[in-house]
Amino acid sequence: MKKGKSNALLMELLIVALFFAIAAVVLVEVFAAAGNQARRADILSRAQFCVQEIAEQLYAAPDEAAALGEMGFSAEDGVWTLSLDDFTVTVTASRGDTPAGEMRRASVTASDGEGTLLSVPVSKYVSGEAAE
Amino acid sequence: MNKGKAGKSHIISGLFVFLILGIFAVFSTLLVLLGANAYRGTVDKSAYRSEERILRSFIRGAVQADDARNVIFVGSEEGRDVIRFEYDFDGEAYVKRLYCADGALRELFTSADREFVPNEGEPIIDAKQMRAEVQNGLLTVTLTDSDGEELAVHVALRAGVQP
Repeated sequence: MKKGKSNALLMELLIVALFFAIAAVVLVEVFAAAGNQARRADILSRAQFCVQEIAEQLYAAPDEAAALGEMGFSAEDGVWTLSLDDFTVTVTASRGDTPAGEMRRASVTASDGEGTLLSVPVSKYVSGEAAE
Repeated sequence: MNKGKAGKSHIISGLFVFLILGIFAVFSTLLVLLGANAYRGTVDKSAYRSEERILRSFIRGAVQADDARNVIFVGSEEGRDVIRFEYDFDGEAYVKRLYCADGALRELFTSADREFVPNEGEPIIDAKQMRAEVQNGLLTVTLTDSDGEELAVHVALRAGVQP
């Protein structure tokens, strides 16, 4: 009779422990997902700051290639690339002549292994006299 | 003899129950600690980024709001770098200054005649030092926070800046 009672208690404890173990597994998964989301949000924030800074510097630069070189970008097939810790920044720049001056365009894009994080266009019109 | 065996078995099953409870308690504590750490890390990181975002937005917003009017001056006053914005309201001259004093980035809006007293400024956010310079139409503001970390904010000036 006593042995039966003891076994029942043991079974009950095992069932409770199993239930909590399952709950723990679910919680660990939730923590991991939350951690991952926070990491992605942090990367996105840093990418946004970085892209914005580069866009501002590009806008002010008289020579995009020189400015990008100073920032540490390397060029390949007309695309400038800078690899940072968690993401890569690529810049494509072009110049188009207009009757009254020059239109300078660039696109600054941050991407990581999961795809494009964000892209910022930069456009600047330089009048004919200033462009010369 | 049988009684002895039964007693031993009873002790072992009792110990087993305690062992299971012990393991359960240890893992529960670990789980709580893990969750608390993950939460604290997330909150700390997001607070830091939020401060950084406020600083960048504040400086960028202040400069870009007055950039088109060509009233931005960068210089040194009272031994500190100051970004000065000059206004004229009904013939009265006013000055807004952005600078660092007493461990904070401050903003001070006064009449242009009034003497500049750094401590009078409204503290915006904690910052130890601010450096500002303009080169080729690019305003670079470098802020040093209380931990000594530097944060650079670049703003391309569309209308230029006064020396």
